[in-house]
Amino acid sequence: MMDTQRELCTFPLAPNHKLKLSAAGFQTIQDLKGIKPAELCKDTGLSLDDSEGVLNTVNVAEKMHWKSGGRCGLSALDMLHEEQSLPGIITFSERVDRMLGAGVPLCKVTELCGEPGVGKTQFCLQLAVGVQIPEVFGGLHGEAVYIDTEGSFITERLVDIIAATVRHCEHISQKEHNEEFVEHLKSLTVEHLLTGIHYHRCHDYIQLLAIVHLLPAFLKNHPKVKLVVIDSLAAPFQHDFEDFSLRTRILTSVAQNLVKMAAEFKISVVLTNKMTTKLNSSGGDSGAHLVPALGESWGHACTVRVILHWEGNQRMAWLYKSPSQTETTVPYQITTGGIRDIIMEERYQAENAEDETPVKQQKLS
Amino acid sequence: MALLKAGLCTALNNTVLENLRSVGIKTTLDFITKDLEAVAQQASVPYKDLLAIRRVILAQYSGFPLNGAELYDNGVLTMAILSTGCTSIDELLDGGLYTAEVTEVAGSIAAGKTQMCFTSAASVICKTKQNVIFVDTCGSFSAERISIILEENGESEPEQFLSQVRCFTAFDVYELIGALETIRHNKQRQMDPFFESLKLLIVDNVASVIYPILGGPQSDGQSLITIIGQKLKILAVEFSLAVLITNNLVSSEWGGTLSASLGRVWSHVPHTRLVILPHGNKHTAETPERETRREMMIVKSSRGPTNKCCNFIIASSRLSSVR
Repeated sequence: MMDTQRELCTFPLAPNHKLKLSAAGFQTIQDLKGIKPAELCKDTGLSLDDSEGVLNTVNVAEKMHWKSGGRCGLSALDMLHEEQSLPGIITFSERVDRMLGAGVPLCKVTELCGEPGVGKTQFCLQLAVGVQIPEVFGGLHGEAVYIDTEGSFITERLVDIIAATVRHCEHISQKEHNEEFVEHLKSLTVEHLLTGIHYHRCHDYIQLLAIVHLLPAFLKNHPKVKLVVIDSLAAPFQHDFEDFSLRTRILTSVAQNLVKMAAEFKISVVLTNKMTTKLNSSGGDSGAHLVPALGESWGHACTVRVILHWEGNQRMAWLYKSPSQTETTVPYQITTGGIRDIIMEERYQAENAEDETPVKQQKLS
Repeated sequence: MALLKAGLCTALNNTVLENLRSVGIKTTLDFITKDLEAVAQQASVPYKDLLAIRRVILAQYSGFPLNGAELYDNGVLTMAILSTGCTSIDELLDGGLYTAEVTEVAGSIAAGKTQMCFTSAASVICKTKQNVIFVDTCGSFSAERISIILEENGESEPEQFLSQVRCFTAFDVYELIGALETIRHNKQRQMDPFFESLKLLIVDNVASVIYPILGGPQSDGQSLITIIGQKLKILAVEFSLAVLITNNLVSSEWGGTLSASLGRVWSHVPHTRLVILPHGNKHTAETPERETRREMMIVKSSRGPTNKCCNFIIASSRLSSVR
């Protein structure tokens, strides 16, 4: 270790510590080689605690790259096997799942943008339930963290979706007549699925930042969590900011934290974002159009972006940005049971008549 | 400049070091900038010894002149032009990605920056049989996508090539510098055969680690940007790597023109800068399907004319050129 020539100013040290180090002539990691905290304290005038802290930070940062894979990177072949072994979280709409690859991907940050009422929160609730489906039924048998910034989390609605999910699993087990299924069904109750959702309510961006910073510790203690939902990320950042560069800084650092968490804990992070009006500065044809809120810099932050919108009477999900899937638009509907495909066959509709009535008609346009 | 240490040469022992410290000479830089006669008197070190120490320091730290012919021969020997996997972009770049150069691609959201990285990586590993390192700062790396591109290129067994790509993740600026240091270290040590035939380094996306530290009351951010730039250039030039980085395209503060982000200091880092022009793709409900066709323009080049354009499309398989 410590055989590189890395400059000390490139380590995450406090600015005043950096100053003292450089004033005493310590510039690269070589200069710290084999030095004891007491010696560093004498040479730089830093307190003993601070000297220990500096040596610790530098050692930890250097060790990080010695960790498995860190020193020489991970081969794409290994990553391919890993990617293929990771399941996605199903949305109960097959077409949306297929659009995203195989459901909402793990290890990635997915952003859902859309106008009010188009179904962002419904998607979040659906995923928070979907992530808990036992493995025998093709799920992840995980848990969800739900961070609610707007108070739009409605437990009654959640119970509807859970009930439909439980019914769905019962349906499968009746068809298959499998002992294992029956065994798993016993624990699959509404109460059980409700306890698998860790709900956080937060009112402003400071609370949100605090939660995001505490999440890694929470995830360590709850290894079953496979999904983190923030509904919505836009709300706390849409007001109270006079300094827009500060907002960008906070937002992008939140994004980097979430991307890191997703990769480290192999979880899926789902954020929702609002749409906002953008005026065409060039004075173009339409004058204004709808774009996702929070600005251009934010747009790059999420790995996958899905825009939900209306097309006539039809809800559409549009995969806008994804590193691995082609851009596509697919229709979906929201029923009492949650997100579903639109299926034209009458036979299916007759079968599920009581279950699949659309709860929300298109509002007046 | 490093700290003065005992054992650098015979004249520099611990007593001399103590004496020098007592007159405020701690680093090699302090030493060579001081008047040695005065130092000899103040620190009571023999002048002859000081001269000897200075000679050693200068020999160890100075750069050596290289004559142009040698430099040229060396350049010709080590230079390679790597295809990006898309004919029209290759033409725009006068052959492809040059080693010893930093090429930047700037584009707006979902413009195809990452796809260009994947296509280039696939082309380098299967056509030129060289190795690629992908530094992923925003979770965009997809081995599956590279495998699909390889398949479309006519490789029946894409998996055999994939071990030629290694991926580093770096989610903050310090991790990125750590990763670049690691690559340099491995290149220097020449222990790992993988790094021997490493030819392309991709950093996707530079901006996402820099945004969180940019601006604000502390000036730390700017210095870190400069250091990243330096390190990328050192890797490119000293180890003859082609470096491909991506950046975001943002509108300037008052709206209007689009340009690459990260400001003026950063704009000196890339040797070649490409911009993927927005194709009038407003994301409205009325025009949900954007075109897959994109236009790329070269806005900075150390070699050829600028402001040339080319067209390409992002097919489900890879980037391909359009006339």
